[in-house]
Order: sequence, then C-alpha cells, then structure tokens
Amino acid sequence: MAQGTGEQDRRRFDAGASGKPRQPASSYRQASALPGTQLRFSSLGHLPHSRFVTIQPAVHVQQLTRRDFCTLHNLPLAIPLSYCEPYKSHNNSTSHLSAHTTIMSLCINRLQEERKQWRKDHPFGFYAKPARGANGVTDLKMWEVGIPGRSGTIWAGGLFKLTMTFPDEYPTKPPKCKQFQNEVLIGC
Amino acid sequence: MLTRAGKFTPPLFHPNVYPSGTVCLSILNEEEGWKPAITIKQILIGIQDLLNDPNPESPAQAEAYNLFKKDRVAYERKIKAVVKDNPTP
Repeated sequence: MAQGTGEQDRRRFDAGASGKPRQPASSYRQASALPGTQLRFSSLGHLPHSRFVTIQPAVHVQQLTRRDFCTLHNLPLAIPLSYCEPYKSHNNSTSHLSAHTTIMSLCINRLQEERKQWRKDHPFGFYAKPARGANGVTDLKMWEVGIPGRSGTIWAGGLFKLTMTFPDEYPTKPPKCKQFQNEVLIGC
Repeated sequence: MLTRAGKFTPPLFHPNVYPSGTVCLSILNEEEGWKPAITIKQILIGIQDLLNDPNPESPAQAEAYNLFKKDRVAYERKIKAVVKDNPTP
C-alpha cells in the first residue's frame, strides 16, 4: 500500500470526515481538536473492527501529521483518514487504549519530534542528543546537552554539560536538568 | 557485573544550581512556568540566560548565592575560574 509523505499526508489528514480533499479547517479537524472528542474508525478492511479513540487534551491535532496521529493512536499507517469521523459518545469505555500507553506514546512522539527539529536547526555552540546506554541503545528519555556561555558575558568560552531526564508524563510534566556526571563503571 | 562508582562532580558554582547539580529554573517547574509547548531549544536558551542572569529570589546553593550577594568582584573572579574548568572544546 502506498503511503503518502509530508505535505501530502498533512493535506489528506486535514481533508476531514466529509472526504472532500484539501478543504481547510474541515469539520474533522475542528472536531478532533477538541479534547475528549471521540473519533470512530470504520473497519473498511484495514482494521479487524471499528474502533474508537479519544483525542487527548495534550494533543495539538493541528500540528500532527497523519503519521504522528496513526502512531499515537496505534493505527495502521495505511488507513485513509478520510474514513475517520467524529463520534460523540458518553461512554468512554469504548476506547481501546490504556491511559498509560497513550501517555507513553505522547512522550516518545514528542521527543522524536524534538530530535527532528533540533537536527534541522539549533543555536550555535549548543548540542543536544539522546544518550546511549551501556548496551549501545539510544535512550530517548535521557539527553546529553551542552550549553555555551553567552559571548560578551563572564561565562563566554565555557561549555556546560547537563543531562536532561524526561518523565513518562512529558510534555505534561517538565524534564529535569542536572549537571552531567562523569560516571565511572567498575567491575564488582 | 558493572556498577556505578560514586564519583561525584561538585555542583556548578551558580546561585540557582542545587548541590545535587539540578538546575532551578521557573520554566522547568511544573507548578511555575512549565508549559507543554516549551521546546528543548527554549529550555537550553533559558538555562544559558540563567547563567549570566541568576535569580536571587530562589537560591539553590549557599556558596554561590552568598558570594553573589556580598562580593560581586570575587564572584566574577570565581566564575572566570569555573569557565576555565569547563572550556569549549
């Protein structure tokens, strides 16, 4: 199945429940931007059965690409989002997602996006990258960062290394910034 | 089996850095200025600003805070030594 990318994705995502393509500020987009709104995904052969997802308060739907949205709500990327429609229900138990899974995906998605934006552009003299654990696996929830002292101040010429730790509830909760510690691994 | 040895770097000499090394900044506090929309870039620039513009309203370590309040010349001399210890590579 061909998957659209980038702008094409966004346009299709924005197209709305009406199915009319490239219609700005569609009913779908507006409806889905409201926290607590439920969306119904029809089966249409892509999914075993219809399912419902609830838009989380922390999600800025306007900023999400189709890929982000599908990842966040654990949907196959191939699902045509024009088949999604706002569904109003008083029964929240129809959501198939546990709260923790949703929070965790929010955290990881946001960190992936932050990583992408940082690589695209960042201020001169700074660095920020997810840390690599002892096993060589990148840990998105732990970043090593370096902050240069601003030129023209007594701090100029210095580089200050910190470790940023992101809680599961990020971005609802802030990261913790702590001075980088040179930890020595010893055998015992 | 590997374990972490307890090598502890002394905290950065700055009025708003706790002895544990944690940075005290309003935008990093859930009850104060944190907003989910704040990006990593904004946090890092915020910390850069804090370096030269400490907040005497929320001191986090006695040493740097006291020198900053009592003897600005000695404080700046100390900062220059700190910069030398943390040079840009």
